[in-house]
Amino acid sequence: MARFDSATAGPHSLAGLLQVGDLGSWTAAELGPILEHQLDTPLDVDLEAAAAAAGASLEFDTEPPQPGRRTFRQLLRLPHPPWPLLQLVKQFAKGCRSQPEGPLPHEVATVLYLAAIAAARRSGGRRISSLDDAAWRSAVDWALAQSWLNADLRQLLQETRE
Amino acid sequence: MPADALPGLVRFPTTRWSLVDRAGRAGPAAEREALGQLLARYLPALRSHLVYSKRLQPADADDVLQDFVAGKVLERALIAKADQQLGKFRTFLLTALDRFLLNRIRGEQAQKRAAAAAVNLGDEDGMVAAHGGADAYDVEWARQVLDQAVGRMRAECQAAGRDEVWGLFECRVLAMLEPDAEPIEYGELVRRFGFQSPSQASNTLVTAKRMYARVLRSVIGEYARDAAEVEAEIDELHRVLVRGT
Repeated sequence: MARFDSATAGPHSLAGLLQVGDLGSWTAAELGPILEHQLDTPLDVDLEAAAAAAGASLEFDTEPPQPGRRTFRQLLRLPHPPWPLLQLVKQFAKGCRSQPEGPLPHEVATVLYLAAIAAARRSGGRRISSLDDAAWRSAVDWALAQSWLNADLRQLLQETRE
Repeated sequence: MPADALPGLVRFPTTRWSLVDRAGRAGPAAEREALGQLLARYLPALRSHLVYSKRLQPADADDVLQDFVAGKVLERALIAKADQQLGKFRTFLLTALDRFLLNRIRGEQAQKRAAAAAVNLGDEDGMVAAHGGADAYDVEWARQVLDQAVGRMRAECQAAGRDEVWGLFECRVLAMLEPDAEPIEYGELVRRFGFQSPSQASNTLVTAKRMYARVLRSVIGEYARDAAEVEAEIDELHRVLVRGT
């Protein structure tokens, strides 16, 4: 990595440092790695406070049994995930989407939001969203069009599109 | 704990015109310290002005600056006159230097008429009122401001034990200022700084940029009289630099 040197930087570089703006923000090419990192993040890192407030447990059994803290990926893979946890994931993702400088890129937050809803729909058809069928299909189609969406989430969303 | 909750990380500067005021009105010890900071920061800009706009040889520029400092700045008269009502400190200092140079050349002319031939003087009104050729000075001034801001941010991060804030700022913001720069990939950043989640990485990046914005304003706030002038100065320096590309 080239080190920034104000003594040798040209005026254009210096100008960028006066109005940082979006400089350094995540790029489109990084959305996939960010999504994967989010899925591997332990639930308690992002949901501990919300779970405590809701009186929800962040623990659940996996098949086969796995040690350690539970992750977003493990939750979304469950055939019958705890609905209160899916609600927390949905609320977290929704909160990220609504912030201009939110903790997740808008696209990644949207995929996580849809994945939580899809996991609930797949598990007995329960609705945890007020999206009507047309809006749901439109949202899923948008997600499926994202090249950085992984195979697991792609399958989850496809299964619940109709 | 969120980085923004750390004391001092996002506080907007409340002290305005602080260095100028201390240099002009404080006691001897504080005065010397404030003068030292002012001179160290802005003499390179004044020197650029003499070399690139006034076409002085570098050695001559150094002589002029040395006499300017000894004759005007250190006697406190100049800084004491840098009243907040007289306009921007940056312009005030340039005007004072131009007047000093003009008087110096006139003195030399009186002794030796030919001495001024090699110096691009212009007329007195042009020297004092107009700074159409002041871009070199303004670019160098901006460079000093930014150098201060970046250095101060690095020091604050180190003092607060927030190496990851500085590291991310360096990797994602400073590095991207270089021509043809490629960002360090997200995965590498996670490995390097040990971010537990995207939220942590994003919050650190946001914290870094907000902290830098605050530090930049604190540097300019030492010679600008209020928040509005700080913002105006940022815009003006930005225009100067964009024009200089």
